[in-house]
Amino acid sequence: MTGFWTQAIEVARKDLRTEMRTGEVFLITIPFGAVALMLIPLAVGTDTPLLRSIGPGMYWVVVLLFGVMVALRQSAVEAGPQQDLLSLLGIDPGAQFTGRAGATTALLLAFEVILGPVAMALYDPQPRGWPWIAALVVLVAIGLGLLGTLAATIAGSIASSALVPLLVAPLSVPILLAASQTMDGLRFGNTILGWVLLLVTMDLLLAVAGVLSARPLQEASR
Amino acid sequence: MTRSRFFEFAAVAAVAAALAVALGIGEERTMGNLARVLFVHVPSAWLAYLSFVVTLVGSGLYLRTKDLRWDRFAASSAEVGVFFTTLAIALGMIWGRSTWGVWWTWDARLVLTAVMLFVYLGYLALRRSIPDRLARARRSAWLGILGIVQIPLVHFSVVWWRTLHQQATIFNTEGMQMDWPFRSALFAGLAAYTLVYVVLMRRRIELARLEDRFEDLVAAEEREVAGEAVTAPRYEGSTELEIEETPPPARSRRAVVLALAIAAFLVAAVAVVSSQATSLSRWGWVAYAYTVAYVAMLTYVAWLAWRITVTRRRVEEVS
Repeated sequence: MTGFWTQAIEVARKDLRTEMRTGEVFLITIPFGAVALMLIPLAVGTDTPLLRSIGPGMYWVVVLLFGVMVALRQSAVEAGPQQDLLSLLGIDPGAQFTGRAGATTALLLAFEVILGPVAMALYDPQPRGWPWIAALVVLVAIGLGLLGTLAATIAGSIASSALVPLLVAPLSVPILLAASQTMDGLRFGNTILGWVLLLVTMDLLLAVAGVLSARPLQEASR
Repeated sequence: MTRSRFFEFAAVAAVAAALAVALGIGEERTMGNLARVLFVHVPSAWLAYLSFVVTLVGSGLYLRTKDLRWDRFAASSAEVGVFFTTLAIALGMIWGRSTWGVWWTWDARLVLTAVMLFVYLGYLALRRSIPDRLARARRSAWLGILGIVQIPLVHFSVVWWRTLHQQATIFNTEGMQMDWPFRSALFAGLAAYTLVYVVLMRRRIELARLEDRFEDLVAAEEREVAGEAVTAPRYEGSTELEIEETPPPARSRRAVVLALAIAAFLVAAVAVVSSQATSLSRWGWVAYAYTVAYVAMLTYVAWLAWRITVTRRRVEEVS
């Protein structure tokens, strides 16, 4: 195999190809997320001003919780033989992590982009600052993709998949806070730079931690 | 006197001294006697931070040295940290009910402290779900390092958000915002709780060591020598050990029943006091908070002691 990035791209393509075949995210997780967005108003009340104010927050909560399902999808969870094969092919563990996180990020981005109009239709949040929102969607997808992949790697195939949401949900609080506070900041004209920087810092930290821990964690599963 | 006994006596004496100082100083100008709750709440929160920083250090040292003692050190500190975080939240809730009129409010400091608790509960859950010791140590070490991001979030939450929780009093940019009698009571509480932390850590590490020893012995018993054709040497007349099916000794069962009865009584007592909380005087709130703190610490110490006794007995049975 050639360089790090070529390997990472190949791993990501493999994951995305498997997702295309199974359609797990597009056929199951995204409709499930849309249903969740519909259920919330039924529980809290269908008062339009209330829904308008809580809409962005609810959208990010759904993205966070269902994002864990995207990270845990069957196509990303590889059993021992598949992992052994990748190792025998000489693929760098860091590249494996990067590829898997990249594929998860791409799927999360699709998840956010498809659910965005659903949330707009159901909650009518009237957001402002579209360029910032676009950047925010990308940064959140990267952060959750990295965090989900890292948590799944830490838990490993021997740990139960029920454990990963417990690991991801509390650690994703900075991402959730930054996302919802940025939306609020844009809406009320407050400064958002600090929150965007927090997101960028989280993404960088998670990327470094994921790549650095990939090899020891792979060895730990032997 | 052994070193363990020395630390235990020192911790008890320090807690008694801190209690005397906390109850002996005068009333605070605005909060009155309720300020005394802070002398148990704040040290609990500080010890929670310390525990998780120690988990970080232990995790880092394990990854560097691959010495399982550091893994036990990190895991023990995480469990003790979960205990202190829970205690800090419980005492904070008592404080909240007595001053703000509610047990819980959506304040940034409160929510983020609860989130920090869940991060380390996840750490403990991860450890329980991985049977292989080396894989468990390595995986949890990374989580022990990652989890530390919560501490600055919790600590600076009162600066970053406009919160109901008061601003930093000790590490304040304008200097320490506290008169010396209150400062002495706070630092006495901090010193006492640190000694309690040392005692809890020593016991928890001993338990972790015994658990590892038990695992080793069971693994050695179960391991086949040179395949199935040859079995491990055994004493004459001995049979395969059935660890899982060995019934717990009668004393252990009695201890479990007693512990459950005490726990049920405490839960009932807390529920009764909580339901009557509106009619508590300020001294009543102080007594309530201190009782919760000391009963929780004693219960945790007793629970650790019981687990150590049971595990030691199991090790003796196997070996």
